[in-house]
Amino acid sequence: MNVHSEIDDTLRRLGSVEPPSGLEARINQRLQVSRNASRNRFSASMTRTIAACALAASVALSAVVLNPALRSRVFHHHASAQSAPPVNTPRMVAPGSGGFGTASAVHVPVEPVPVQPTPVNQGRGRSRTGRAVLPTGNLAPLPRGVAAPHAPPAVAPDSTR
Amino acid sequence: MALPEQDTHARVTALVEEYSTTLYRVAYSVTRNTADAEDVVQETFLRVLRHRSKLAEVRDYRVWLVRIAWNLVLDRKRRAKTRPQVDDFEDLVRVLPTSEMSAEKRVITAQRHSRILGLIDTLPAREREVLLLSAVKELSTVEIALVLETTESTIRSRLYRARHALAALLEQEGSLP
Repeated sequence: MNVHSEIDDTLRRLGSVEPPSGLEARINQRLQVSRNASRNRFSASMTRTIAACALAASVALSAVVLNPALRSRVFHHHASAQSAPPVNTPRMVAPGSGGFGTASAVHVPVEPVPVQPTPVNQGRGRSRTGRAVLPTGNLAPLPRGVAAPHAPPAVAPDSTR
Repeated sequence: MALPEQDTHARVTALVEEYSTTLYRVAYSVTRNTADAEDVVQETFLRVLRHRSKLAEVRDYRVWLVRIAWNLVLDRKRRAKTRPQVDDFEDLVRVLPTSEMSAEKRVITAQRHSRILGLIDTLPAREREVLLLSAVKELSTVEIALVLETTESTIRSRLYRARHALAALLEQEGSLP
């Protein structure tokens, strides 16, 4: 037998080795174990996430309930929102008797509608003149093109200038 | 686009059925150890399972799987830092298909194969790898080129050089009966 056929024979035998019996079954079994493990890992991580979220929510709720500052801020906000003065909205007037009105119909009120006086800005950040006050204490600058004296003039302005 | 979980399961099972023998031969050509080769095949399919989202994109499963197994077996060999125990030819006698021979002739043949495999291990890495992959009968030259990410002509050239170098080594030894 020459050298090349010897090499061919060795390589042929090496490349046609039969795997041990039950190889496929063992591979499938290991894959199944791996699948189950990853599934368990996923469910465990989900459980941990849900528990962490629940804990965070309960801590936040406890903080709101037990801390007076937070509680007043939260509940005062709702209370003020509910007790805010009504906005000057158009009044709905019941149509006069005598049939159905249409969208374009003019409804004349039976009695004169009382008009509330325009509310004066008296909140924080507003001066008596009605202009906004900056945190520095100065009045907010007027928009361009609006002329206004910074201080009340001591004498009457000279009209010739 | 990823496949549904049930389809992935069925696809991986089909891949095990179709390619486990080829992968075992690829792994055995390097490890020459039954347990190690089986471990490499199992690890290959675990990798497939881990990267199952890519299954729909694979065009040639055989090349893809052989490449995974090949990289795994080379990593394992690098980590082991030891050459396969080719002098212990008892495993070769048991594994290599020589069942038609008598017991005495099987031992002699296994000795010859063991000597040749030992000489293959002394070849340069690129030539050795091509020679070992060419031994796996299911793999064509084109597929070997795809696995090793080179051209078919390069594979042919390396194979030619490897065979001639091996023949020269064997003739130099002059110990073939």
